[in-house]
Amino acid sequence: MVWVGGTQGGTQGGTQGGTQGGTQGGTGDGFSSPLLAAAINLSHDATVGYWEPTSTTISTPKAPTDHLSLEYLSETRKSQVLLAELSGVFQVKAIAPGEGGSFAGATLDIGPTSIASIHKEDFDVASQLKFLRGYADLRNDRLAEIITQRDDIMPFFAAIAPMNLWQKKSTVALLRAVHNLTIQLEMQIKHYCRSLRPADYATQVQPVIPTPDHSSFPSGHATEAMVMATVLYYLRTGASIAAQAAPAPELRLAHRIAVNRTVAGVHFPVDSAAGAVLGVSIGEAVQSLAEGKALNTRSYLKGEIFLNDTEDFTLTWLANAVKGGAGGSKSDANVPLFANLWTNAIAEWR
Amino acid sequence: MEWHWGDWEEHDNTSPYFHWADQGSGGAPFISDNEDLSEDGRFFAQARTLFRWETSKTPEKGFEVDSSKMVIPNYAANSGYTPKVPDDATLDVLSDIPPGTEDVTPLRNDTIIAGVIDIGIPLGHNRWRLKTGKTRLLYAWQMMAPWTLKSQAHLPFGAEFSEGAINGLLKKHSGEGCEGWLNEQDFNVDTGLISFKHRQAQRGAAGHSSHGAHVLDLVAGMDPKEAGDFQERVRIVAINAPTAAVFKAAGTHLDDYMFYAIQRIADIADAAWEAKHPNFNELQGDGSPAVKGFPIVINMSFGKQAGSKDALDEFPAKLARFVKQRELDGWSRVRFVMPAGNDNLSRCNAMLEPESGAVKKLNWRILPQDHSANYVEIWGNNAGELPVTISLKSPHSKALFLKNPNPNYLHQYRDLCHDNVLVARVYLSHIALDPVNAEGADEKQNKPHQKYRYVLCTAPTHWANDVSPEVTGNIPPAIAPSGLWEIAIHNRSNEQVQTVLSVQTDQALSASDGVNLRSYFDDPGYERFGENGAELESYSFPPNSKKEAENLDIRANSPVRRHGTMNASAAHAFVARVGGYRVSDGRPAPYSATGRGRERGQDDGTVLGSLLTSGRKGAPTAAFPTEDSPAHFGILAAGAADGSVAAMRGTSFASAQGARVLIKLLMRADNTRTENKMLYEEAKLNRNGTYSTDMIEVLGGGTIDRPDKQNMPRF
Repeated sequence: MVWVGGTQGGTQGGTQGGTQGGTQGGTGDGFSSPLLAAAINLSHDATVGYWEPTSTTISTPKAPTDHLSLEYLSETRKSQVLLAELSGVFQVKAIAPGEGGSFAGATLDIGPTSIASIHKEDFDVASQLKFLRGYADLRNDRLAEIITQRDDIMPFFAAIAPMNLWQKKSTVALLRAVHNLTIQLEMQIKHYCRSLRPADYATQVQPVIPTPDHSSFPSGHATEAMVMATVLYYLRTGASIAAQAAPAPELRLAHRIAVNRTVAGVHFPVDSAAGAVLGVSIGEAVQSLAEGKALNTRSYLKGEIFLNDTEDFTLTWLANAVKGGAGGSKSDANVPLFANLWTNAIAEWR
Repeated sequence: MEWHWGDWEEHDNTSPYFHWADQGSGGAPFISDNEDLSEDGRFFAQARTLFRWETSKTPEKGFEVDSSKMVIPNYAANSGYTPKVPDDATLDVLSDIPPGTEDVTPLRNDTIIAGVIDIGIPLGHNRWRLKTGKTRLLYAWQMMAPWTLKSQAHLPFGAEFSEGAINGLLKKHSGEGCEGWLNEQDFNVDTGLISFKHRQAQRGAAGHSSHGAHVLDLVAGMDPKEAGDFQERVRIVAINAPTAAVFKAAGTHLDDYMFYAIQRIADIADAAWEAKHPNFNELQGDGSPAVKGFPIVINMSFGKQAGSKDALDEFPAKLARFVKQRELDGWSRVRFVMPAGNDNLSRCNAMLEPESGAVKKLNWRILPQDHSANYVEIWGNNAGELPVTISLKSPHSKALFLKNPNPNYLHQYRDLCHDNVLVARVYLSHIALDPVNAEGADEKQNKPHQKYRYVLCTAPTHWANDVSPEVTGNIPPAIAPSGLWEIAIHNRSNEQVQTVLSVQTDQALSASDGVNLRSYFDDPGYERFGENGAELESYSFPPNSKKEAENLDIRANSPVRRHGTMNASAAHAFVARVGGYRVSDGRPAPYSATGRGRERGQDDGTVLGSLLTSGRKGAPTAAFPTEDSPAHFGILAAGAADGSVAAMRGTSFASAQGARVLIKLLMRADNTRTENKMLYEEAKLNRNGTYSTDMIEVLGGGTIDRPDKQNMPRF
């Protein structure tokens, strides 16, 4: 599996290593090596001498009192704590398999409320493959986006709403946590919706990036992009992205990121449609949890929000789809650390 | 490995390009959706009766397009279309706008109509809207939209959007005031501009740049908030024509679509004028009827390489008829602008001039894994008996001599088979000048008005489709060998003759398509590069202190010449022909095509002064910027998305600037000169320090500044 490490190390090392190495080296867990350890050991022996801990030789550091703040942690640690807190709230359940034995989809629950029900429906593969054939004409035009967004979609949202670590520290931490949460949830949901990729059906698809191992349905990129769009739009404006008459910039971007995966050859339009519904659900749910508001519920299901297999995943379809959803009850779940970060993030914008 | 010619077969006047594709081995190697096929399994629409544009005011004088020889994708074709007979023709092009109910902006009396025929013209850009947010387009015909999108009985194919319909869709996708952000991708789908469903549908405007957006911006684009009345006076008719996937890599059906488009633009403009002037009977000072109609300028950034390059070609012949008929009918002149072409360095043009009884040869390089057919046209003067015969040599055969054409056949062809598989064909035609255009020929020079034309056709060198017996019917696909073919001209007359050879255009069949490769003349004497390693162009640059520029073709010892690469669709007197130059120093764009060439005031060949002319205009009329920055190639104008800008290069965009200059001159009531005279005289006024009259074949009368730069301060 050397090639996996080779490609992932190359791209992720390049982008993540650059920023994490820079910040963590100075402020995080720090850098260690046998050379540095040996040097400090030698220095210690040479400078400390004999000492005995007594009340006069130990200092009295200020004990932490704000138990909601995670500011003392590095970005990675912060994200881990938040992810653990949020993960405990969500639960993915398989929708009972049909007679054929394959899973029929999955629900994403918070307590007794299913905030998203993603139903896997049979579709006419040939009809959907026609869209892949047509969108392939745009590959030359979109290669830079496709390759960049394979690993990281955040710079595109940061282009809409600038987010640097000095002015939007809480926002960045919040989006990172929500993004990590989304990946965990979507991968579990994908597992219960297992479906093949376009290239599995036709040798002519020939995606311009490696075909991922996980389920085609629902699209992870559509899910993550819609989560980011939903949360960021709310932070930025205080309004719901689903309630806008004209598609907000974040919604347009989420749509484009999702479509780029069809252009690349790794997703059907129906994958993007289901992913977008899941994404807006997760985005709304974390807002409800943080603000103690009632949950919203949505279903990707024939007869409700659904993309017919002869239709394209258009921005008009998406804008109408996110307007749907029904109001649910307020959750008992308690996410105090995330809620505190949410409040701080909002303060950075409004 | 047996090669043999068949016998000469008589042929009707069908285009060799169509015939070779339809009944030869030049077919387009792609498979379409089953739903796009007609009942007999053909992709393209059934042959229909002769088409005359039904809404023409004088239908018996309109363009005639033989639709039985035209290809129309079934998804775009109106299968129930019945052309009206001329007696039934009515002037009803605006009939689908019910008076008072549609959302239209009234035309001013001093309106000028900008017609743009292109591909990928988006309809929603603000630069072709009014201050009110509403469109400046009068009509847009999306020729390749599914006909069922609007199911308009009057259209033979595609869908047409009126001004009111466009405004309605602008509101739908950007809010009631047409002022919000336009959901352009869905707007473009609703207006039939892009579709991802059909294999050969249009998608050019879905990328970051689009040929049609760039061209329309240069012709008629303007910030709607900009001061002045340009936006209100210049109204637009846009025709989105098919891409090469439909009209074929060699431009086989391009002319037919152009004729439909030109006629439609004129009809719409005239109908709009008549609606404003219902009882017009004004007279001029001499008592003759005043000219009817708005001034019309049509930009056609299209073309092809091979042809007679004079009025013997079908396109200029029909264009000339159209222009003359309008004049006879008392309608305003339609002024046409076309690009010189971008083939200057493509090694696609040559002259062979064998002496009596002699043979001259030329290498023709056909590339491997080429998915499209290749074509070479050979033209020569034919005052009496056919003066030349030819021979063709494949990379693996001896010279295969084509003797004894049947003197009784006006059109004939002969097949070349390799192991009984048809891999090449030669067509021979005798073509006479349309009598209507004979008036335009130069009688003083007693120029002959009849030519012969050989068209050499070869099969693709690669077949990408399924070759299993159930698909091919046990007939092996026709594959021509790639490599060096040899064309020889045998002069059997009593005097030295001149023949002009040109490799036909070979356009990409789809976006990012790199599989239809263009053949070229591979002559060892052709100098591609100079001593400093730079690619040689038509003339030395800059001119010397005496303002002399050296003709580098004449210096070279090769029949392959940059001179004569002019776009065949534009090389005549009925359009203004526009080349490109670099703004920083006035240097001709290296790719900008060159006219036939002059020596001591005569058109020249390599040895002979040319007699091959009939209404021909070999040189560009003028040149416009095609390179204007040290930071990028090309020039800036609208990208595919509203508000975006892209840099694109090529003489298409010079042509568009030429159309804008004509519009600006017409706005000054300068309404009497022809398009050529207007641009040529404008160029003379603008000549700068580096212009040399020696370079008239690439720069025409001179270089003209970008006409809209004062409206684009950021450029």
